[in-house]
Amino acid sequence: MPSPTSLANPMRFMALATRALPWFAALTAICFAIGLWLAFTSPEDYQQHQTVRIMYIHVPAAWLSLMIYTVMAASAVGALVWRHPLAEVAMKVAAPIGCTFTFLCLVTGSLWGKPMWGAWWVWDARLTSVLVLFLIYLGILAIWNAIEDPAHAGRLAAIATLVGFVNIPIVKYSVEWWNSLHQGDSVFTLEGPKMAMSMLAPLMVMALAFTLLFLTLHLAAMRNEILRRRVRRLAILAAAAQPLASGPIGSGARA
Amino acid sequence: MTVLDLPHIGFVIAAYAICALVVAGLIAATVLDYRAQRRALAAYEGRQLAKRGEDE
Repeated sequence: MPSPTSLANPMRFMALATRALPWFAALTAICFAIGLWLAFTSPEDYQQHQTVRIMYIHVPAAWLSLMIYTVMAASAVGALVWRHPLAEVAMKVAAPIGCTFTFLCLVTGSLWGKPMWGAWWVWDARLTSVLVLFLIYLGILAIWNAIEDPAHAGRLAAIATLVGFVNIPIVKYSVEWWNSLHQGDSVFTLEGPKMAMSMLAPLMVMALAFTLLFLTLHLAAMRNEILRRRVRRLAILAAAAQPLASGPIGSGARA
Repeated sequence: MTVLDLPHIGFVIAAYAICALVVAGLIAATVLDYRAQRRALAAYEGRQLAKRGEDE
């Protein structure tokens, strides 16, 4: 059994990821099959009718959008303080996945809001803070894509990620701090879940399926990024080994 | 009455369809990226081996 510190070695990580990925993918598929079956056989809500089924994808996407950003912020600390290359890789590849789940949260929320609230969008504290989270994800992706030097981009992205983390508690507590059209927490409350087990069970299975999907995609994307960095290093070595263009230096300046 | 006649079912179908499409795209992008990186790595490693053979 490898120790946690030995996994920080990229070569060991690659070997472990290659072994673990098929298992994670299979578990994800099984959880989605069970979760979707439960979601579509659970009773409809007495007020929301069929639209309550949007909850089984909207809520897990919303939870993941916050969890992935938290993973990015923890990785940013690892990248900035310990300068660990795997932490930087984890931070970089989590951004597009988190951005995608935030997008899904916004779209499915809008599709749920129209029949229930009568509007696709309202400038409510929860909705607006999630939109800000989406824009922060896009900003971090822009940093990675705009700066060619990965070390420089990594430092800037880590700082931006940590600054943007201030939005996470705002998203979480927005429904308590401000009057909101969006409903408050109904699963993780001090009094326990305020939801019937027939709806809580499919929601929890779908949340597990979404989390496993993230872990699978994150592992696979980290493996891709390690390979990309190896290719980049080989490309630089190959370019350095190429003989310079013929002719003495400066000869090309004359007309 | 069919499933399609249920009230607001279009919103539910649209939400699940968009979710499935986006997740499928994310999975496909990750798999294609892995293949592209493996191909690029194999090409560079092949070039290095060929160069070593020439040097010897």
